[in-house]
Amino acid sequence: MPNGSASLKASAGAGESPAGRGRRVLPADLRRAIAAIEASGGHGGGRCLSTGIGPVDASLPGRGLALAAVHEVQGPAAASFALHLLTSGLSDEDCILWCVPEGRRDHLYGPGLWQEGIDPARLVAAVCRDRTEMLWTVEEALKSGSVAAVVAQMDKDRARGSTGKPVDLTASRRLQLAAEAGGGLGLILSEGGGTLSPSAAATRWRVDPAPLEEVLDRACWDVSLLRVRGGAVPETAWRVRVDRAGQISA
Amino acid sequence: MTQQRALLSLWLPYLATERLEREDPALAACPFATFMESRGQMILAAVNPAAAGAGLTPGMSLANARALYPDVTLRRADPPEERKALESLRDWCVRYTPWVAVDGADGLLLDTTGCGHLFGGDAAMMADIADRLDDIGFTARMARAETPRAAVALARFGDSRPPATGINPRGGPALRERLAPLPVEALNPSADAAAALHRVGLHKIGDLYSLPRSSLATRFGLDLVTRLDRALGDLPDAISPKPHAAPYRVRLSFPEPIGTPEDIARALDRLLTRMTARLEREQRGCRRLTLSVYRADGDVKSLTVGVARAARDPHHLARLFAERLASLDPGFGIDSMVLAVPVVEDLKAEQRHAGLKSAGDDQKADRTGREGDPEFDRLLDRLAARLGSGRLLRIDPLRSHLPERAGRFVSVFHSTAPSLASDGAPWPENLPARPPFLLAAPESVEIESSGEEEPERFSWRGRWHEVGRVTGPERLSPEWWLPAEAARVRDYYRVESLTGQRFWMYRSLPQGRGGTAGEDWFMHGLFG
Repeated sequence: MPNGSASLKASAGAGESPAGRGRRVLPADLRRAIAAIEASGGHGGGRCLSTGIGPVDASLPGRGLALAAVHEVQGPAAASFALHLLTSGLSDEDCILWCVPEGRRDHLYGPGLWQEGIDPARLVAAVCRDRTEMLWTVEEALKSGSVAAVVAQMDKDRARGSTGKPVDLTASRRLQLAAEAGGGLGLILSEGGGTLSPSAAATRWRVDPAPLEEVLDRACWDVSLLRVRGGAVPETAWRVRVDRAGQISA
Repeated sequence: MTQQRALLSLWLPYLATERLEREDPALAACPFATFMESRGQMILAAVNPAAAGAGLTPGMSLANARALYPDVTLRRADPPEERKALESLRDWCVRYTPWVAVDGADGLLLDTTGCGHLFGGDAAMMADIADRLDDIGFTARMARAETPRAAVALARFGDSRPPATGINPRGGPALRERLAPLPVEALNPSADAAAALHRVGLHKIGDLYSLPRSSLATRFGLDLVTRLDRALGDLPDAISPKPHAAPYRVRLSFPEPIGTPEDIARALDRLLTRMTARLEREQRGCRRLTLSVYRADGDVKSLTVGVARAARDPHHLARLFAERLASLDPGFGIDSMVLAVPVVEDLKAEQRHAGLKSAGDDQKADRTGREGDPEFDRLLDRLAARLGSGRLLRIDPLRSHLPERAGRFVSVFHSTAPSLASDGAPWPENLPARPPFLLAAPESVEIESSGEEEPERFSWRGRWHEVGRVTGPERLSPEWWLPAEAARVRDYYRVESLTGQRFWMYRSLPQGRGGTAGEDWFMHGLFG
């Protein structure tokens, strides 16, 4: 819906420059239209990406993770959950940009990614010197619309408490606008821990590791959905199990 | 002492006919000539060896030629095409030396000073030239000498043995002696001078040696003396090789120094437009662009941007610079700017992207974000302009069973991953589970266990983890070429903590497995 996205930008543009807010008065019907769009959770035509987890999909507004939007994932297992989202949602040819801060000690590992179902050839890692550069990179990549997904590992370490400054409202709004312009998926990972700061992201998750039920299971997470933009949070916590055959249950 | 020069003259006596015979080999078998119009009369311009054998010569009128040999095949001469053929032969000769010049309508001059040894000696090089020219259908007569004029004279007027033996190897008689038996026409004098020389009985170059220069000059003109001196090397003579292609460089000077970012960006736009217009004309693209700014205080600053794929889209290139322009300190102002492309590549014309968001949004969604998408390459270029190309990495597979060597981060600009992906699975299949995240270097882990093989608690990065479940081991042997005492076996375990975190750890054992002495635990990967 071209009209919808145009008005969205207009509203956010006003929000970006508080000085201009007084001058830029939006007509009432436009406000209502914006509210309707935001409430529906539909951005960029409302296309969604299945998380591959039935009950989780069911409780999301668009029956999946909204595309053309940014999502925040917190918690120590954020990175592995992000990999899961990429494998379940994207096609085999989609390009992924994975941003990491300089000095991070654990790196993506080819054979492991291959086993997870991601061909490393379609993934490019960007090593960013600092947070500003990382946000710029993510924004630029989302805006270009030429990558299917952009993942940002914001923290230098996955240990709890090592989190830096959370992505603030302004930054997250910029990223969200960039994602809307480009149509891709943005995943902001903060493994160091949670923050409850306001954000323009479409959803916010917390993912903790959970012990495997069977030895050969692939993964097990405690996933909670902390926040959905423009909607009440429905059922919020699941234990997600990926068994040896890749079957997912929650 | 300077090295003796070595000039090689190449005469292509049958260039005009052989050019046509290459296109139509049937012509070579029969008498064949080209003709042209001269002073209202049709005359023969060039004849092939068969026609020459039948008595036809260039300059003969067409009527005469037909009378002499009625079956002669005739084609109209085409001097511009002949010139083109000669020029392409000149370019072809650059394989031997960069200094190649066109000599007259049917000759080439090569300055082969110091080049002969590359081909196994001067004689071998000349034989090679003759062979290769013969292969592509040209007959050549060659001569080497220390001066260009002498080489030309020897090639054209030297003994008229068959072409392949027309080679005069170096180290023969001295230049004066070699030139002496040649007719004076070999010096290419004016027609008047040549006639005057013959009138007084000076038929050979050698006849001129004993005469005083001054009287030669008064009788036959200074030009003749100059030619003689050049041929003998008493006067310097140079050849004019083809000029190099103009460098890809555009320059903009300002009447007043500029300094604001907007002005700089605008100036850069103009430079880019001019540069890309030329690249477009020549079907080229650039991989690297360097912008140099000359500041009013005499300082020169430069910026270089690179692209993953040859490009010439001014908007794209401008965006690459845009990230970096801010770091350009204009100082007290910029006097002039120069944009240069050190390396160009062929780039065929392509349809420009419309850059519009089409109504068919779904169609767009199908295309974007896929491998090989040119937009993705452009994005990488832009990111590399700010981050540096060494910070955009792909993981290339490497065939090694050592975990830390199996994947290698390579700059996307050097990665070979896409090509590998095409031939089967580039990554090893059927491995036991590998973590998606690997530590840059294995990190030491402190272990607590109650006598068992497997740990009960371990401390990593200053935190204690209670072990819930251990899977393994998977034994990885060291490379066999390491000395036995340095080589250690690794037993890899997947260790799950009670909180569900899963780690990839290994125990490093001495190869002999002599007890547990010196065994250490290391953290190597994270499952999530």
